[in-house]
Amino acid sequence: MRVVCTGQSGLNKTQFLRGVQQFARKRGHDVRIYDIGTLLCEEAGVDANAILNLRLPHLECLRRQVHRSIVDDLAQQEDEHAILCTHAAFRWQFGLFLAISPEDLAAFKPDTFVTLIDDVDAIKLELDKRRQGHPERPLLSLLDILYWREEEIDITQLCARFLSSSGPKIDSFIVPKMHQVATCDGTVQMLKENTRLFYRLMFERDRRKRFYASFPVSQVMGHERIWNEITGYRASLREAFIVTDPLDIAETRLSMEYAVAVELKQIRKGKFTYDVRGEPVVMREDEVRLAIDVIEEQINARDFRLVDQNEFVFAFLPLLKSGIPAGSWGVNAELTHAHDTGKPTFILCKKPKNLGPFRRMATRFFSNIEEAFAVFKEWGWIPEDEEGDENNG
Amino acid sequence: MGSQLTLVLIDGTDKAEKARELLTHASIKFHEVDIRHNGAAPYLSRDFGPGVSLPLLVVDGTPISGLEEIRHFAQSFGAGE
Repeated sequence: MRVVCTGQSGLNKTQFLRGVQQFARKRGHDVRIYDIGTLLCEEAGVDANAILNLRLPHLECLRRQVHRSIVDDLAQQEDEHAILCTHAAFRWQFGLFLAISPEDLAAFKPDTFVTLIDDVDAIKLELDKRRQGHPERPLLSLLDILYWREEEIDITQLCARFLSSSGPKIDSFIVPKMHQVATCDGTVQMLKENTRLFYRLMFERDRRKRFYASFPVSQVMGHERIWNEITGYRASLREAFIVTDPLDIAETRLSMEYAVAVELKQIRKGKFTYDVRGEPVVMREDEVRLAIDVIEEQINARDFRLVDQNEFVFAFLPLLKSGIPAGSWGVNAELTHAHDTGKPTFILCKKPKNLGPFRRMATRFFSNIEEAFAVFKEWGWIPEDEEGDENNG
Repeated sequence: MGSQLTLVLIDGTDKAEKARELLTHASIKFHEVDIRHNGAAPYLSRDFGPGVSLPLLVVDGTPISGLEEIRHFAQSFGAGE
């Protein structure tokens, strides 16, 4: 398998991919990682803070050389599993410019493209850290980061489509870097890298189905029993399948933190501070206000793309105290989108009749997760040799 | 089985106190959630949109956003009793 992994700066992609490499090695696969950034610096003899200051034609020339040496190196390897780690685009002092070319990627012969993404505030924190002591690095606003993430996704998907036009179809996936789970009271229960998800996309797409998990969130807030049911459903699904979980991107927290800061009059001199994964980050109020709107806009487009990259949507509609299944605009939209694009949908709900006539849009209902898994097993969808433990990853 | 009402607020603010008062006065039973201590809170605007404002009353999954709307809800609830 050969994967091209793209993503913006601040993700620590190489470190993440080392985790994937280790995970794969434990399962008998040796994966080589080619980090374009490191190889470019070696080739040019400059460090990471200066490489992008080189003139563009020089940089492109270096990149071509690096790609050629990767292809040569791969030709000498017996085991051909490899990940090419690169940006799709750069944002630097001179604005936006491409970091990949379809010609170079064609020579690498990828089977899959993956774009890693993460919360905008986490990226901001990391980029601000990298900039300390290196004023030559550009100061990127939250908006720059948000748009750059979309550019990475779009350019990557465009490359995948371009290469698919002259050969077999090459899939392109968006993968949230972190898996995020909180308890009902907001305590972080799990914040770990989506290593296993990446591994499964790379090696197990032929034996594991791909699901998009769809479920209400805010509508059930404060109700611990329901929250725990949702957490259990998310975990069960992830254990057996390749699952895209929309809660792995949690950046709307920025809107919430900002609203709280305004309400409690904590904005000082146009700036407010809050914790991002345990570290304080200072944000400019005007920057945050602009970013909040874009975050909202991007959710729609991204969630539909996440639905598109999966084979099925599996929605969970837990019952509220009133007997009404909890739903949300998001869940309805995702189910409708899946239905309208010809994707089978499954709904986990104890009382499906309470969903009204539109329930007929669903392919199949299950009253509990055990029933669903029994059926999936019958269909041969649950691999026999389960390794089980996500913590291995 | 009755409806499930959740009042989402920032504890300690005047608006939160007023929302509590309105609901209690109309004899509406509700469950209270402080946004700063809730696992779903980061996704609030994801589910209800950017226009959502606090305090927020969630009635069987439907948002009633802001003090004015909560006041109307409490008044209509009282009228219907």
